[in-house]
Amino acid sequence: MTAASEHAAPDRERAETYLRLQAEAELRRALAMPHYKPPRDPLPTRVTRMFVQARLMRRRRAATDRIMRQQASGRQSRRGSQSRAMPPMATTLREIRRAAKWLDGTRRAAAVPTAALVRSAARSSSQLSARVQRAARPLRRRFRRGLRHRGYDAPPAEACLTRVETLASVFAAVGAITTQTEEEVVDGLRAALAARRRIEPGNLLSYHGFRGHPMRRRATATTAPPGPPRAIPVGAAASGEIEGLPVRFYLGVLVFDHSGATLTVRARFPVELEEQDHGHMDPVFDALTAISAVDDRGATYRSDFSGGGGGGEWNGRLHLSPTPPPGVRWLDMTVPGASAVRVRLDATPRDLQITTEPVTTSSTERFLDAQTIQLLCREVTGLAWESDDDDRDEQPRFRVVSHLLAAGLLRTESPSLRRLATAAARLDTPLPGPLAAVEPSELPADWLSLLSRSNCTDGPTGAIPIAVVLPEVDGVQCVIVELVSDSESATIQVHVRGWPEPRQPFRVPSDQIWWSARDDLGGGYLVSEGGSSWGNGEADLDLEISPAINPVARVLDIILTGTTTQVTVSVPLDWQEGL
Amino acid sequence: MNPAWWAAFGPADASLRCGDGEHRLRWAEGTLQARDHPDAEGELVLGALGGDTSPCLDLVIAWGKHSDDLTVLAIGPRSASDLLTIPAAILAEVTAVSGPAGPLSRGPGNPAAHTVSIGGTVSQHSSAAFYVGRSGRSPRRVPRPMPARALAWRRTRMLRGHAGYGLVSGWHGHPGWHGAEIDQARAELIRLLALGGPFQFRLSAAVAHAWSADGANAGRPERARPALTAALAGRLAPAAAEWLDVDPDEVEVNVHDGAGWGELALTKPGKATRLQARLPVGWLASVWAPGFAVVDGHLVVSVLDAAWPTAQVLAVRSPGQDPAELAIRDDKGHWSVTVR
Repeated sequence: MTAASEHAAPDRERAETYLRLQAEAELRRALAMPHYKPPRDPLPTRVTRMFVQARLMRRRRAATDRIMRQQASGRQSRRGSQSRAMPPMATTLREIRRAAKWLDGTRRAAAVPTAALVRSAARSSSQLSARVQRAARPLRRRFRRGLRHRGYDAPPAEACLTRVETLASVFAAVGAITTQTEEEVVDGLRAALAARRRIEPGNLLSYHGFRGHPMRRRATATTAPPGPPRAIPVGAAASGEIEGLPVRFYLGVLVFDHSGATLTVRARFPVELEEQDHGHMDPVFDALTAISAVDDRGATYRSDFSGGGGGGEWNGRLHLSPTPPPGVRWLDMTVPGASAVRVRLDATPRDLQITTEPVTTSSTERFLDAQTIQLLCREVTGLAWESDDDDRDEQPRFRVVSHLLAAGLLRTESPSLRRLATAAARLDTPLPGPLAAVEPSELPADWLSLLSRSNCTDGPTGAIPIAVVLPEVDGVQCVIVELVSDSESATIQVHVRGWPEPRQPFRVPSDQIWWSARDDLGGGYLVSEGGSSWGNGEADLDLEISPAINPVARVLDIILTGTTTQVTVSVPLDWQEGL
Repeated sequence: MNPAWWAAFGPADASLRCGDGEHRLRWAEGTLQARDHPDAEGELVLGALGGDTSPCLDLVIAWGKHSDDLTVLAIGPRSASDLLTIPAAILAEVTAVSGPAGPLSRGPGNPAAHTVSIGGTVSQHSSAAFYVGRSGRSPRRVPRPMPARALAWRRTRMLRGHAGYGLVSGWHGHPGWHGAEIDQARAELIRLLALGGPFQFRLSAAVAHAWSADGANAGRPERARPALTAALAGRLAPAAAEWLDVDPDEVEVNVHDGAGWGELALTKPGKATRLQARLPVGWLASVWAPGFAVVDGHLVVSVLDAAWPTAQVLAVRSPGQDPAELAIRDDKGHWSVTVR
């Protein structure tokens, strides 16, 4: 079915009509499917499980009782036996300590080369594994389909809903429909399927407060504080100690916003420290959480650490509580095993060149280019689209592009569509249906440079506390906090106010605001969201840059592109220690 | 002059438990009436002043509110064979939140009991009016309202299922998360749809009429045009498949705004045959909803006159031909041509 709206209508009307007609077509498709019956184990299985569980519980209770009895009797007899047991136990303990000390020394000596070896092996193994997975994917998918799933099986008609959801989110992302329309169409189809017993009947209900999953919530409209967020470069390193082992700490940038004050932090330590966990709590995490501060007026602050790490390094953010009030001149951070690190709140950020320009390409073109870059990056990074999940192969994105074409949001002579055709040809991926006739064109130079540096591991090591507040783009206020680089990749830490929350994170990405980067040598970089945390309309993002930053580059342009405005900040690459 | 949009519909009845008794709801001549509440207006005034309204009147009010709600067309039936089923548990849940008579603790008078009792079974009475339930007999076993604990358990179960799904196939917009409240409008709509098939078609007709050239929203069709186009396409496609044996996906529909009934054309751009149609939104209310979109191999495009169970219609034998005037008659839910 096609949308043949001849009415003199804006694109929005045609796009909405097309989307709704697609929803109708998917509903018809779903009606040909059988009624959904939630999976249920057969009666013998349920009865057997009930008996097995009862028996298991009896055993556990008996074991607990036995331990309790033993402990009670042990307490009664301990006094008498202690004096006799002491001499041999002391000798044994001495021997154990001696052996442990020798082992510890050996392990320390071997730790660094072993860690490097393990890292290198892990990298090779991961690359090999990615290659094998890619090759075996079709076979595995076919095999898996043949097996009967245990547990929850999604109703087949969910696929119909998913297709419409994906399309709706892309249409909304390119501005062809409003988010309200997106929700209406998807919600209508969901309820229609539920009312016909094609998906879980609970989907008939609609909830407000928020619709659906918290991941799809709109950013809450909190009253923003006057003025933009504030970023203060710190860039201080300190040597500390945790559990007797040396640890290097680095404090990056302090950001003040509505939700409070956040300080970026990193810790590098010997790998063996990770093995000394107490009650399953990592000692480094414990130490980072224990960091506190005192200001020039004597007020104290505690901090909560959020972040992650492993392999001898932790990265994250310290959330200070309470927020230092205006007028505070400095904070002394008490870092474990180190003297206090002074954070001056009157430090001024570097004066970086910021360029603002109007966006000349359409949202659809930008969306398509982003898809093409992602497609190319499958070859470059091996990160994207490596899953067995059917939703993650290339077909959904090609299908979506076909829909954009059919809905009149894209024309066959579109430059971005031709670039997609080029990328597909390069990857030897056939384009389906009407896309097959699209003429390929040249890929931009920075895309090609991205491909040429795909396997480079010569990136600079260090950090740059950028601390720059960008002009508002489409209602989003970004603070580029820090740039951290190592030999294989780099990360930009960003704090944002008003950032749209993720939409359908496991399907075709359909963000309305895009990040990219380019160095002064003309090299392009893929910038993708690596990690993020949301709350109160604010977010902290870890944007991963790949491939590794060119070591010869002197300036990196970090580009934020919205629907109407593009902001570029030029960051001189003068690396600090950064651990 | 066009006949009233409801002229080709027979009355439809439903019974429900209201207070201590079994009450009747009747849809006739385009309106829903609570037949056992002669002083409905007075009750409504009392309700507005803080008193309780009855389940019957809640439904009547909800009917009025949803008579131009395009969601009805998005969810509602697409053809006579397209049955909507409202599970009892969902109904109990929405009854708990919709309307002042909502709380489950109200016991036997709660409308959930009613709608569960009718369970979507529809029979055609000898007088040819639609009856829901069994007229003249004692109602079937009425499930007790679901206690709050059972509802909580059910929600938990839903969450588990959805969480599992989330892990398998990705996050999904799904109800039931802590802190979310059931949308009141959706709850009302579910209760209306639970009245059964005849009411579903009549409500769909009311909405389509509201957005047609003669309806209350005739002045602002632009906003609703995409939804109305989809509603037309979703309902014409199965009718066209029955009429011409074309692939429903090859039916292309536009809303017809001008004078006349519209147009139909058959094209063959490739291997598939495509039907291009241009019909007014009113076609949904006056032709499709009463159930005579296709009668004896003709696609009915317009109603000239109607007084249920008979109607004078314009119908097309095949696309491209001029429509012919036919007299049709409803015989136990099946319309057939009486005079060509």
